[in-house]
Amino acid sequence: MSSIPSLAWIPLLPLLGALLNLTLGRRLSRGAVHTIAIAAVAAAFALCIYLIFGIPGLGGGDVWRAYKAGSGGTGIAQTVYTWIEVGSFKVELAFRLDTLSSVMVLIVTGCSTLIHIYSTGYMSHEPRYAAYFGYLNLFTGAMLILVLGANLPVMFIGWEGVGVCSFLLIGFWYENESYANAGRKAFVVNRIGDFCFLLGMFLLFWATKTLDFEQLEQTTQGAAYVQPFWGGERLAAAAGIFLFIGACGKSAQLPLYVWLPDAMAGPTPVSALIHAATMVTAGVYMVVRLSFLYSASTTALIVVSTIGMLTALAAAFMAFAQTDLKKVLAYSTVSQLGFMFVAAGTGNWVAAIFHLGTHAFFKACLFLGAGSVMHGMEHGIEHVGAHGQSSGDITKMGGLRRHMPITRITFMISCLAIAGIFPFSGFFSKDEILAGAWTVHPPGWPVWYGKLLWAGLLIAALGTAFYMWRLYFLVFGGSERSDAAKHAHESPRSMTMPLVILAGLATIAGLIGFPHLTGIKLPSITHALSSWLAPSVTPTWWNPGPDGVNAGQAIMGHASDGSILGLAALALAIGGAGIGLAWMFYGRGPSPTVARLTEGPLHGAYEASKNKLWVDEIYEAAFVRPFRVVARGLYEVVDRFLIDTIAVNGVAMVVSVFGRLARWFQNGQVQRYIAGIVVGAAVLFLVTDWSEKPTFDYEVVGDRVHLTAQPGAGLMSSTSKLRWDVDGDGTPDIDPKTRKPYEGLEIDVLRGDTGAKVSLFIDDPITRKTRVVTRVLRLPADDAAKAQEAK
Amino acid sequence: MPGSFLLPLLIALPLLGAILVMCAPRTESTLHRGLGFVFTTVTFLVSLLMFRYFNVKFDGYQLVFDHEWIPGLGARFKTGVDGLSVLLVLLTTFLMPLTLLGTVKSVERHAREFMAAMLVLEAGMIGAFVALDVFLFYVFWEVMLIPMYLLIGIWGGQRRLYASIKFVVYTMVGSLLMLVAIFYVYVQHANVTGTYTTDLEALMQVALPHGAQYWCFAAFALAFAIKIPLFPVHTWLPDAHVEAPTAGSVILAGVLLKFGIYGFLRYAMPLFPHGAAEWAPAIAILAVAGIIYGAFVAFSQDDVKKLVAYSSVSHMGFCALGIFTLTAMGISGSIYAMLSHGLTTGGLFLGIGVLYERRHTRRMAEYGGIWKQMPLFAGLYLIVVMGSAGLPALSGFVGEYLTLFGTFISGDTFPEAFPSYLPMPRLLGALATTGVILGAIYLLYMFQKVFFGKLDKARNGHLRDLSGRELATFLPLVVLIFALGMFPRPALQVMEPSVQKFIRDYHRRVAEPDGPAHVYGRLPTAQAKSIEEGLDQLARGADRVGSLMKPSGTPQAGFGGAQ
Amino acid sequence: MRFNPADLGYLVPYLILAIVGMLLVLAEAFYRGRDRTALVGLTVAGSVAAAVASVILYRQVGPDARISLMGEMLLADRTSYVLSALFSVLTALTALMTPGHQREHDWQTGETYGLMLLSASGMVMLAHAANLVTVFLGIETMSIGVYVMTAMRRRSRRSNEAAMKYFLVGAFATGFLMYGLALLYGAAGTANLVKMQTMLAQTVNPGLVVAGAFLLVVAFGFKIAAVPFHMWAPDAYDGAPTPVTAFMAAAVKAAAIAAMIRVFGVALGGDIIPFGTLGWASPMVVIAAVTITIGNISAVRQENVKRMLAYSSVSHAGVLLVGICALGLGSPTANQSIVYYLIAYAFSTMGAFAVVAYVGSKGRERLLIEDWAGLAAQHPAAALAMTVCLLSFGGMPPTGGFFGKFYLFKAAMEVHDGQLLWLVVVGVVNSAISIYYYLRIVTAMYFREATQPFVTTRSAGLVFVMAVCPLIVLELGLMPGWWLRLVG
Repeated sequence: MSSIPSLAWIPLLPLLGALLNLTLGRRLSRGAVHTIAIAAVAAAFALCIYLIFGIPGLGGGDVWRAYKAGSGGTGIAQTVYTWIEVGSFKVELAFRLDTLSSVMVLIVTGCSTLIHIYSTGYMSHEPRYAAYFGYLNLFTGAMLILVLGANLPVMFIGWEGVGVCSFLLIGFWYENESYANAGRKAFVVNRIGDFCFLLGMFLLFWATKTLDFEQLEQTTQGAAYVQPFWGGERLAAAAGIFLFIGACGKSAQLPLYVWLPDAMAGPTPVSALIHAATMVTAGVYMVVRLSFLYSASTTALIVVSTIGMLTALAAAFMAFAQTDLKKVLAYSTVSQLGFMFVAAGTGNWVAAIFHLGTHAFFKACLFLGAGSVMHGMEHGIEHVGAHGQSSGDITKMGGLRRHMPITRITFMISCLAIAGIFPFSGFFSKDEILAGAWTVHPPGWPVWYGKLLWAGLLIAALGTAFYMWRLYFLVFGGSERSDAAKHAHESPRSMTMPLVILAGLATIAGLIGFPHLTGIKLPSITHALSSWLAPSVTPTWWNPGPDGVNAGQAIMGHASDGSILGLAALALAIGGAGIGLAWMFYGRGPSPTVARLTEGPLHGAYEASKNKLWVDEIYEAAFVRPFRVVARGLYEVVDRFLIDTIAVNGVAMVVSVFGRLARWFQNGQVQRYIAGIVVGAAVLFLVTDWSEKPTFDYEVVGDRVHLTAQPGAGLMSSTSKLRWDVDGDGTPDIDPKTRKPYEGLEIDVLRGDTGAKVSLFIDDPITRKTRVVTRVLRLPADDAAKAQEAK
Repeated sequence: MPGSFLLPLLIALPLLGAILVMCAPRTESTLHRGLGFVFTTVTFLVSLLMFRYFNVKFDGYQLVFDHEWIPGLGARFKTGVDGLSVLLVLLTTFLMPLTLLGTVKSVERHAREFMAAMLVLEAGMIGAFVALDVFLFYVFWEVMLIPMYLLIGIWGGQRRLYASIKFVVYTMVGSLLMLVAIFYVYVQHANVTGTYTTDLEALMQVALPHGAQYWCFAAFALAFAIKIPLFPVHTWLPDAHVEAPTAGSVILAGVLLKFGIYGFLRYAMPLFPHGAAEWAPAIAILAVAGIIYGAFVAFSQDDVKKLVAYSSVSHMGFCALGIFTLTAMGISGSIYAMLSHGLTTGGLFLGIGVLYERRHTRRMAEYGGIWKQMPLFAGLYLIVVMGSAGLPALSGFVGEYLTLFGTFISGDTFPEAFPSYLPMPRLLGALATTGVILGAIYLLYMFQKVFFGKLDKARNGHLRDLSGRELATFLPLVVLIFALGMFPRPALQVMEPSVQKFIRDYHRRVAEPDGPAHVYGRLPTAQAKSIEEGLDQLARGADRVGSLMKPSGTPQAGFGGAQ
Repeated sequence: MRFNPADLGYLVPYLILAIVGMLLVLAEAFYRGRDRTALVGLTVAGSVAAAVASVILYRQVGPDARISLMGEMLLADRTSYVLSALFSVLTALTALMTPGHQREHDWQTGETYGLMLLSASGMVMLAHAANLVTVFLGIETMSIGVYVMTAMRRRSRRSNEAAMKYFLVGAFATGFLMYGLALLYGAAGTANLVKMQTMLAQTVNPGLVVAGAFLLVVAFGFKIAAVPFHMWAPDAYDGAPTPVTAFMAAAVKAAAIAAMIRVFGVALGGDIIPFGTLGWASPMVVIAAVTITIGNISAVRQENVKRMLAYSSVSHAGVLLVGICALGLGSPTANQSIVYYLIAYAFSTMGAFAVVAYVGSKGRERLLIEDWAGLAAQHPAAALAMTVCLLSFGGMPPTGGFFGKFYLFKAAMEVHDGQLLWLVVVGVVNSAISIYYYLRIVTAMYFREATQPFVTTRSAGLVFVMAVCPLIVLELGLMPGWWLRLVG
């Protein structure tokens, strides 16, 4: 096993855990099951730490050294074995742990470990305990493959793998039809994205003949990116957009976000891990990973950032009126992912990853908190026997701050973070994104476009602050709105401990990403992230010269301290405003004004938000139902009717009809038989006698023309005398050499003797008639010459 | 050649088994099953021996066994394998014992005849894969038909009569026109070289006029397209599958369909390169149409078997598309997809058999929530389903992925002679790729219908999970599905040289200028042509009269000529 | 033209058949009592002896030797002996089938055997014929015997009716034959087939040749039941006692084809008839195409096994005509391919009709396809035998029928310019159709359940035929090489 390179162990450990739990799990005790699972993930986490920073006394820390040595962009690259090889096409099963992917693996393994621990408490009553942890491990492994993959195909393995795991985990309680549907929906929508991901991959390979990130980045192949495709637009644009659509599927962006809200059907820890912290961020990671590609096409960037902004806005809007705890969080996730894509779409790679990280912490914390709340509510529901009441219905909550203090605190911290309140992490990351949108100006963009994005995000941020705090107040603020809420109680330590850790991270994570101020000198740790990621992302616009050399200007436009601080202050103010509004309406439970507004002036907007802009309904009507109809129609019409009934059985029918005909004719009367013989014979004779019209062929052989008569079938022509007129004067001719008339079926004539037209005279001795066939000879001019040289 | 005995042995073993089974007393059904299983297993083990002699680096035919068979016709009993066929032979011998093991219980009536039919079928399939003589191939090709016909007709379902006849007549129509084309090649070869032979390698030496190639390829293509089956000549497949017993379905989908693709690679394209080039766009488009159409129609089925049958139409579309990209990736991918399809679809049908044995219905509506009752089965089946849906790291992915790649880049690798060999390769590739989505849609739909949801049907309440025997049939499949997905390289390396050779040869042949039938590279000049014709006219006159008048000389006996 | 007693040596098979045949007729006349086994024995013995004699003579005669006998009225070469051996064997098989059938459907008439041998002698004469006169003699000797045999089942009105039709239409066709031969003789000035070819080539009166050839096409078309001269066949085949039907379908048809090989291959062979582009083949190809197609299409709807086989034999006649055309158009291997096809076809037919006779029994003749339902379950061997023969008819490997078709179509393809390509396509497409109705019987036998137990005809001879014919058919398909050398 030592032959397996160290990187491979990172995904391998969870995968082995999964294998163990999925095969033998049912025979193991619960303790054994979650021990194995947690051990596997924790080990992976430790291994990551070891490889990246090293562990004092044990060595390691190769990535750190590489980073110091200035080759952080390469980090550790290892090939396990050659996966696919056909001719020149070669796909290595290769992993790469550079500064970018190291950030991701830390987030993934870290969150995963915490959530595994959390699950031991949350899922303690689950009969299919082993299966659950098996899937969770499997997911972690797949996600790590996705992140570590050194080329697109390997990334795609993880890409699809996480999709399957999310399918399994969303549909974990498969006995509930709607849950199962949600799982299938997630997988199919993801597949739609993957379809475009594949197309992007194919295009890239077609253009560059490689799929390895390292080689794709080589400037020598830059020409391929800018080669025209789709009416002059760069191939980079096409490939980039296709890959981004793939990202839309995975990261729940317009128009493919629809699966994520339904995905809340899965167990809450799953929502935290997969549908908040890790998997859904894969798209963002992919775009940043391919920064060189996207920086080569500003068109692609416009698409990415625009979609991101629209998603952020739309999702924020939809979150307003949701009454299910997890649904609100789901939409906020979609919205936050929109932020990340705007960052990525404005070339603000670091900010994208930064927000990805902070979001992972506070959103995971929020989800786990929600899980804890629902856990507590379930107890309450059990206690008061209010069966049928959803444990996630926030209208039935309130006042929980008294019953579950730890959950409450951590939840509040996360809400502050997501609302972008200083000094919580969300403030810094979101601010980075906003500032980036304000200052960035890719070649070919209208100057105001960045500002537009910025404005859009600002509104989204306001919305975020509002609905998150609405949520907070409805859950924890005010007084209990149901008996169940009264009897809710705090969750076990196994669940609260991860909450605390995540909340802590959500608080401090921002410190590594201070804005760059020229005025004030800050300790280098405050720019740790940007400098750490720098080697792995493209700093400049791809603007190739004639030789395809990347000679573009830097991506990050620099703004003055004043503007930076001003923007920050504005963002902070927006966040505060949002919280204020939320307090106003929901501070002590939903205030009557809410009802008044939603009934009155804002009714339409309220309905729209409540019904998520009817997107699901629209999709149902526009795609799902037509799909069923078309499928059915094809089967009934084309397969059964056109092909089988008409074509196949039709032929059989025709045959059998003729069969009946023959039987009817065969009536047993000898007279008819004999008549048949006579008539048949006569018809046959005539048919064959007159079938072919008389004619003749000619062929040039050397300097002679060879004429062959085809007098046609039949008695007449058979007895006829054939004469030829070769010079075209209309009278039969005589062969100048032999002094005999041209006669018979085949004759040879000197080319010289032939005229333009040749006629064949057929005199019939019986009818005393003469038929004349005339043809114009087309003799190839150079034929004689050919004949010469051939000699 | 070393190991030349192996392939005839592979053909003989099942036949021997069939004879023994038929000799066994009628009532000893366990004995019959035992014999059948033993012989198929032995055949599989022997087939593994192929790799003792098979040189992976070598690109020509190997393990060649060549023996005179019908001197009067020039037909030889010539068998051999190369990278294109060796894996398909293995697939056949591998699936056979598994199928018998998996379906032992399902056949009560006439177990003896059933086993015999299966064994004869195996012999026919192996023979058709390894034949290197057109006539021999045709014989095996037809021999496969009868056992399958009986399997459907005797052990089939309600509409088995219709299905069996449809299967045979459908196939015959195609294969008989192919026979005419075989005649044509055969006679043309004789006219050119003066020797009568049906040896494939010999026939491939003769370049036919382009017009003739066009029609001959069409004749071959019809036969193979029906076998694949290519849209729109696929309608025999659903009926055959639905009515056939599980074993029949497994072998039909797992192996028989492969002959369509294999036939194109081994016979149609090498013999008529120009015809292939002219037809390629049509076939490629039909293949893509099939991919999409099959998926759509599969989705609209309630009968599980029908659903899987149509999914075969969709999957085989990828294979057909792959070979006509004329790229190494496309062709290797196509063969690989065939291997994977054999395993996954075989697994799917075996699984349906498992359910059918317990519930005697194939309607999805009758199931639901099975996972609760049969978690083990559900888990394994999910892997098979995912493999079929082309999930990376499972077998299905590699093949489809490579064929699609091949399609995308085929634009750059056209034969010089055909700048527009495939129309809009990128567009075709993109359309074909939609199969990825559609596959997920109908397969998951089926999986959910059967395994998810509430266990609300009373009769599903007491379903047993997999028995040890059934587990033994599924595990090898699942393991292989994983192995082929994770480590495709060895298999690809086996194909590589032959595939490269195939492409090289094809490009060389297709570049041959048009002209009367002639040996490649020896196109007669106009002068030579006229002389040739003169001679051959004389010859014609001579043997026309001569065969009847001349007292001796010509080989055949006519009448006449008193001495 | 001088009689040379040595020539008789070459005609031993003919003489045996003729003499034993007459003996049997006499014996029957003076024989009292109902047991006819003695007669059967004698018949089989005679025909086997003839067969053995032909084999011996086959070895005597060199591969390329052609000995002319009786002043060029007859000739002897290997092919003629192959054919006479075939005819004798078929006669023996028929004789073996007969007694069981006679017992079950009581038509114990001893004349049958004598007539059988006499018409067999006619066939052998055809195999030796080298002159228009002998051709005519052979055909008539053969036919008259068969006319009577058809009527042998006196109590069955269908038998008599069939015989009547057969005879009337046959007589009518004989007229065509007579005229045809006469015209050719008039045009050529000789009746010798070999000389005739050369004479016809330089005839002053091609019109006569064309007319004569055409009349012969019609006459032979009747003998081999080619469309549109086939309509007597289903009735005759259906009405005649099954063994006789087998004899007609196998032996008579084979003999007629043998005669055609002679007349069209030799006398009218070569490019000597200025009739259309293909000479006399121009009407022949049309007949062939129509025959194959109509024969098949009519068979599709038949519910009666005998009638279905009758129509199938019509379409087979069409296939054989393709061979004749190929022969006339100078395909080098046409000759042997025809002979090979004849052998395969004849044995398949014998086998098939043997099973038909076996399945039926007193009271229930079981001629409808439904009557065959479930045969496989109760009589697997019989079902298997039938299946093999049917597959051979349908041209499925590994049977003789497949190889025969293959070889014959291949010969047709060898005709220059692929003039017969379209005909081959027609033939091939039709064999796809034919598969359909052959499989209807197989389907009935294997896939359906029997309504009541089968009471079959118990007869050693019948079983023997049922066993031997399929074996030969399979052997023909698996090891065709040996047979090709035999006929080549």
